Amino acid sequence: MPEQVRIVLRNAGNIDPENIEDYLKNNGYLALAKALKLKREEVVQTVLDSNLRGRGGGGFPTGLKWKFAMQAKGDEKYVVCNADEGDPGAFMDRSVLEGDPHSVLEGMAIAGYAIGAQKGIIYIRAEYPLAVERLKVGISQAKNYGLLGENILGSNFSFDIDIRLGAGAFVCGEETALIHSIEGFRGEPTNKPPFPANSGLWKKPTLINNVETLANIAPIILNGADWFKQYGTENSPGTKVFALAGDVKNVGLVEVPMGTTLRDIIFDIGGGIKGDKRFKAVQTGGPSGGCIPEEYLDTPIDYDSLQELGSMMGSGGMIVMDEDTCMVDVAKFYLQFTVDESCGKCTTCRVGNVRLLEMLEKITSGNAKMEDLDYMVSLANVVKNGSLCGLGQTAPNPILSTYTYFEEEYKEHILDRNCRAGICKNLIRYEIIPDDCTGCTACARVCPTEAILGELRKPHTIEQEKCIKCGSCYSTCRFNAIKIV
Amino acid sequence: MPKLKSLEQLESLINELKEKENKNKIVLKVALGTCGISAGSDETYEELLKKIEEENLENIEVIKTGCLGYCYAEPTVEVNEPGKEPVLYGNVTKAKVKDLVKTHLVEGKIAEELIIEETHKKAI
Repeated sequence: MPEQVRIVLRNAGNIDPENIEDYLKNNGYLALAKALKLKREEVVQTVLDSNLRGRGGGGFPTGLKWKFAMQAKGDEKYVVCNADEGDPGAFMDRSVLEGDPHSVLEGMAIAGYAIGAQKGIIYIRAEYPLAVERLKVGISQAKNYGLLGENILGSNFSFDIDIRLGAGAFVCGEETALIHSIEGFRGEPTNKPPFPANSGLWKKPTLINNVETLANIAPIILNGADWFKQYGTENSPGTKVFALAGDVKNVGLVEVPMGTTLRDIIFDIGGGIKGDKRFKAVQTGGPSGGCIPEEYLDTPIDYDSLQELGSMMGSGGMIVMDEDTCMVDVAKFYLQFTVDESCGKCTTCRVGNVRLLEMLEKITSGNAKMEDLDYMVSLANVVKNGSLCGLGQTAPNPILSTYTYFEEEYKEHILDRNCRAGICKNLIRYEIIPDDCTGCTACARVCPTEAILGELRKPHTIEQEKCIKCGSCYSTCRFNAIKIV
Repeated sequence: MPKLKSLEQLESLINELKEKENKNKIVLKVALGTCGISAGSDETYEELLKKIEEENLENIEVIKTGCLGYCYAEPTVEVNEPGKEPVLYGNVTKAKVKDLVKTHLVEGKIAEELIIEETHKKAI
């Protein structure tokens, strides 16, 4: 069995997150103390040498970001922790913050020293009250010990951390939108450059790192870049935390070295598919990512390999889907999410995604023609190339990746008016198999529209006009006497 | 707690905390992340404290931790006995606490039916 390696989750589940002494006992804040003895340039160089890449999704080299922020001119600078985890199915950042808040606080303080900032801000979803609470406790404990605040550990370096609650908009995870949100404006993105490292929060140089990225910092400073590079692949060193969810037996958090294969994560660590059904696809990278089919399960995963497959690492959500999943419906789910979350600033994203969603609805309701597919793909590319920020630029990925790997299913919906997974309501019908029906009346009792008729102990029938295809009868029947056609 | 003024003070505090720790104590870790709490791990925690007191068990500490990663098996309880590998129990609902305490802590046997396999190692 492939082994998990815990760097980011080194303390999560192991220490009391509300007790700083527990963190200290595990060599907590020693990395900060060590950094304070080094020159700022040396700290940045260590992060550069480690090749750590941003765990928020894009995989930009963290050290380079730090270097730009350090070199930026300005007496006031900021370190922002991006804890706006909005991907459906992702909960890595929440678990780190709830399980080990000090690892993030320490990472921020080291970053603050390295770039010359005195102020840190954690931008966190308001939907994470427990994480917020534990961060507050952590900040006040660290201050009491002189590990945050004025003249940290007797040095000239002062650094304080504040918390800002996000209102729960997906786009606010995007750097520039996040900055606007903290400034009190609508969370809308702006063009880059200027990059936040030069002109960020209140036009001051600002370093924005994700929770998981920051949790990697203290161990790197303490143990060195070479130590870090022994894990993972050459271009993507270290580990990655994945939130394993969906139709997999062992739902939970997984931290593995980069380069571990999808198969190892899903079938060994994850225990395989629930109910011993067949694997169909795995969705990575949230709405910005895509679906990867069975033939690529042995790909060692890192930033670059996932992008080659038309998906992306994203923050690390990993949703496993079994054979009962309709891939067109999955694309529709993610498009609906993007449409709901689009800030509306640029036309391609605001209008383009709505049109794409309409096309998917046409396909799943059995009203599409074959030429719609070409139109859909070309519009998807327009949205991808013409949108202002990362949200719009990646919004068509779920469509494009499912279309690449599951084109047959799209065609079946249109040509045969058939949904092989039995999900798209307009294309399916529930029928009772008379030979298998015992007349137990269980289905008739759960049917909300009284569409099932029949006498006790005699085979029942479904009145198709009344049936709303909710599937209650199907999941209730204990004799497998109801089929989807 | 007076503020720490130097690396040396921090190091000596860390050493002091490590030394102060009672190495002979049994530590039970209950995962109380959002996933654990929604599965009832806070009730498990309270029940553990209650049963340990009822059984008059000494030298046991129960601590609240964040999520250990085994969300599918919440509530989870990890039993750390001095000199032994930690044992990880899953699906320890309030109702199962009594059995766990009796089997593992009173009789000193592993409660096999609740055990889940642990697959991770710490890099540090």
